[in-house]
Amino acid sequence: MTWTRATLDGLPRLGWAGSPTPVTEVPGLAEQLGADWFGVKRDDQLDALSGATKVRKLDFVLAAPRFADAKTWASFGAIGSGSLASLTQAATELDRNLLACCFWEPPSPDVMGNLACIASGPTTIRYASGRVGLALRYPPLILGGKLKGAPVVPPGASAGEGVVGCVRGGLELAEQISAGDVPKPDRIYVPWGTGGTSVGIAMGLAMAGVAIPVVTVSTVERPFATRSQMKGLIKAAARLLAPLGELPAEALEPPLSIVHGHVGKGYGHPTPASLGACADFAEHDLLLEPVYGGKAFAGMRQLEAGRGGKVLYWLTSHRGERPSVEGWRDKLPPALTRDLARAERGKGPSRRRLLIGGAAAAVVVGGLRPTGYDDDAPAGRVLSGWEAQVIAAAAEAVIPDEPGPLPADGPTAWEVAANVDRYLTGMPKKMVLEIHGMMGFLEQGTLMGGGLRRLTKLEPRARRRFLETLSRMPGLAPQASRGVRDLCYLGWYQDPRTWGMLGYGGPLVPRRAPGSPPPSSKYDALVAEPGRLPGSST
Amino acid sequence: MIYDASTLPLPLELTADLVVVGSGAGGAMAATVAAEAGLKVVVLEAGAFVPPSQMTQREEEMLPQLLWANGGRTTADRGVHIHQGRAVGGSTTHNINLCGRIPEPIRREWTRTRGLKHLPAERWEALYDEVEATLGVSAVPEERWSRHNRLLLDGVRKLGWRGGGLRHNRTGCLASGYCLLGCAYDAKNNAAKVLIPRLVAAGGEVITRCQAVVVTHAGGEATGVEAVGLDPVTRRKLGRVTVHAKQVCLSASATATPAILQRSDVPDPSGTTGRTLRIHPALIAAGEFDAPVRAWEGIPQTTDCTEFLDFEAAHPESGEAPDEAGLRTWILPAFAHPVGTATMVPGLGAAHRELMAKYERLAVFTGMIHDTTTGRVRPQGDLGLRIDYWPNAADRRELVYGMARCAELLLAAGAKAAVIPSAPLQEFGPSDSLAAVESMDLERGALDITAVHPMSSVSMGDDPAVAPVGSDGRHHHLGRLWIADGSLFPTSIGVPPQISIYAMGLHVGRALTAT
Repeated sequence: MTWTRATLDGLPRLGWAGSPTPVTEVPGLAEQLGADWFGVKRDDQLDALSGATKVRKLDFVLAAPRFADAKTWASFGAIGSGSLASLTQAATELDRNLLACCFWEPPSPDVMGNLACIASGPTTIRYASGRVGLALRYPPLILGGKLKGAPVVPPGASAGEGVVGCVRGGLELAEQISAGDVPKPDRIYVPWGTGGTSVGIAMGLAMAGVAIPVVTVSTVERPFATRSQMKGLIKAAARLLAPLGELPAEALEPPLSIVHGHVGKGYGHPTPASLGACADFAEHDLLLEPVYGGKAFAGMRQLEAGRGGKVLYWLTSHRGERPSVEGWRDKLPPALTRDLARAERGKGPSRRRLLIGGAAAAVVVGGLRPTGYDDDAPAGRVLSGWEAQVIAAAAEAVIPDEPGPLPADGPTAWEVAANVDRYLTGMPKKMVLEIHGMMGFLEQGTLMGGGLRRLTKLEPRARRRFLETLSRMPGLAPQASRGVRDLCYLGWYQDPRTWGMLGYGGPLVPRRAPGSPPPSSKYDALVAEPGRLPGSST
Repeated sequence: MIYDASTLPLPLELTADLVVVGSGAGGAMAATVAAEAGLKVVVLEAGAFVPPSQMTQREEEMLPQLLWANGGRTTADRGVHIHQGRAVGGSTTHNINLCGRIPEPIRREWTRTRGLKHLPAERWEALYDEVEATLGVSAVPEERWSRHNRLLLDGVRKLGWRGGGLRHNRTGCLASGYCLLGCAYDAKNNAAKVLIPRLVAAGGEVITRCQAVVVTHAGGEATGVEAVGLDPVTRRKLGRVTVHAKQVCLSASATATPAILQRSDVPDPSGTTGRTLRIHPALIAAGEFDAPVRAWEGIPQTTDCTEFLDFEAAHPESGEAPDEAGLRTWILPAFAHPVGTATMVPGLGAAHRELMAKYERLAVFTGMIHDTTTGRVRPQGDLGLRIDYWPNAADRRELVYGMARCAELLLAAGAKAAVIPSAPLQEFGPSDSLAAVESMDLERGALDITAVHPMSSVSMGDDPAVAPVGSDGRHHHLGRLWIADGSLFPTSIGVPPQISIYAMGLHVGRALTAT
């Protein structure tokens, strides 16, 4: 039989995954990879919720009778889980409740954005600091079934129905290839989080008779991405698909391989290579977050170096900011609030890690693409040209009433940066290193948070939003936000043109002409002429 | 004479009877006493000599010249800002000239716990008398109190609290209000004005832009100091300066002195060097008035409120201090010039500008606490140091209690609103309860904690197992090494430390000269 997307309509679904998502050709990245062709399958463009491949999964999962008939669903994931965030949006959309069981992960702008979305929805949050603790407290999360009467949506929505949703994605791509809309790739790359996406896509392609190797780059620790898990997912999907028709043998053993070695420090932690991948995507106006998609792209870059051929990358992340409401933190369980507060007190990433990480990101990303900065940016004694541009960009976000050009009755943004550079000159070496790290963190932190562009490439209003987001985050990010804010005001309010608004008259001593020697005083007699050796010299 | 190391051919070797590290209150005094007694004295100063003619009253120019880290020094976690002087004269060059003797209950407690055989009560009094005479300490006449300072006393009187005028060491003051940026009129009777000319006249040599790295020692005795000359702009190392000396006196401040000691591997069986730092942390509240206050004008701090500063209660003879707030807070007016204010005012964009637009009509009071927290200082590389200090629970409670009292005082003085500069901003009207302020759980970054009085990091005591230094300033465990700065105080002192540090310089200078 011939399997198409329409075949799957025999199973219950919500209809959230509608038209095929586009494939965007990115010649710039093809050139960088040494590929003949490089395209991105844009699941961020799925209409429902905020997009993301998760929509394909929930399309089938939530239509399954055990979920469709339930008033409340339960699920679990990290505090910044994209799956829980999508499920929260789905619960809002379908007027259901969600019991979200969360475990700790290091806060980042993206994590906090997802957590804000989760806490803002019709959600009850349960929290334990570790995955194991959570599973011990709530066994149905692992064993399946119901938790407090609510059916459990597996992590990543990788139930059999979720895999089927991605099978539909594989069939969709096969149809696009058959129609000539997309060249047939030689290899397809997909991130592995819980496995359902990669398994489903590989199965779908095989069911359509399109033999394309699918490489899935693991973004989780090795025990969470194994061949036996892969087989289990295939079996679960096959069981659901069996009533619709006979599955070809290739669908039960699709050409899917798992690649390890790109997790870095662990699940949820960006790596310099994943940050570099985000920056590469951002150059082409594509959003990539660093802990799934970034790592997968980094793995792909390593595997594809100089290999040639046609390569397709499956973009699984959501688009833009997820919805949230003011006061969402009030809904967090006390233990999570405490852990976030502890992270705010510095128990999260250490200053060294954050700032060195910022510096590393600056070096890695900047090293990949040293261009794109204004040539007029005035490099100073401490600040490089691009760092001066970060200060100038921040000044436009921070100083005016509304983000934009600086008011005319004060220094220009470049003058603010130059004033800051003069102030930083002579600072202790360690503080200067931290300033460089802070600049890197600010400039590239937008990418870590899932933003599209570096800070200096954002519109002033988006820059202010980013700095405000940082100021509300746990850990040391608020210090970076506060630090650059203070530097901007330091550079602004030292200029006498700004004093009129304050009613401040300024210094009483007359200003000397630049370069003129100080007036003589009685203390001159105490000072030896330059170079004269002390009498105590031997 | 005063020599600028950045202009000298380096490396350089010097020989002296005494090398003193630091030219602030303690170092300048000890060096002057020794030089006038006939010793050949070399003083090493990390900062520059900035005479009044070079004081421009501009924040962006003077803070980098007069303060460590250009005025940006903080604790390692950025939780507390610590302002410390780096120039000839040390912190006396930028301070506000407040003079107060260590209260008797504290000295009594020190005697009980540390002995301090070289510092009986009459010795303290004699030292203070001599220092105050040298510095010309006197009460600031009431007619010279600024509107800002009078507002504080208005509040004090309305509430029936204790308060009054303060004593300063200034002569010929024009009340310009720029004390924190160095006095352009040479009206501060500070170390650079009062002592350095005497030191030079007695043959002493001051090497500026020369930062001490380690005390050299051999056979259980100090033999000198290894230092480096610094570039005047970048402050990078230019070359080595070695001073061979018969005696070494560290007066580099309560942060640099313990850092140098630890970097030098000077033994300390008590294990307390650098581990008992106090700083007098402070929080502020601002009040918005209808009429201009122009708080930056006039002599900055001439009045105070002592209602919540009860040294007898905090240091009872029994040794059992009561566990209650409101015994250790000293309230003063405090204000900053535009840059300092702008960096403390919370918010972005319009929110920030609207507050800054009130600058002229703001009064600011600060509650500085007599702290019990022990912080830590460690060396970091050859020239740097790391400060770890976060107030303990009792001090956090005292800090927010003091901040609430500042707000209460501002409202009593006629402010239409009292503002707590937290993010988000908290504003209180005259009829509002301040209970929310008092019950705040002070967390890092929530409010700007500032400290200007580091002390107590190399404390003195008669028992070498308890304290590394004797009450004559002599190091218990390394011969020919002396300490003469605020590091010596066994606890925080609850009052401005400058005349007590001068007193330590005088006391230790005499002791080392006698040997």
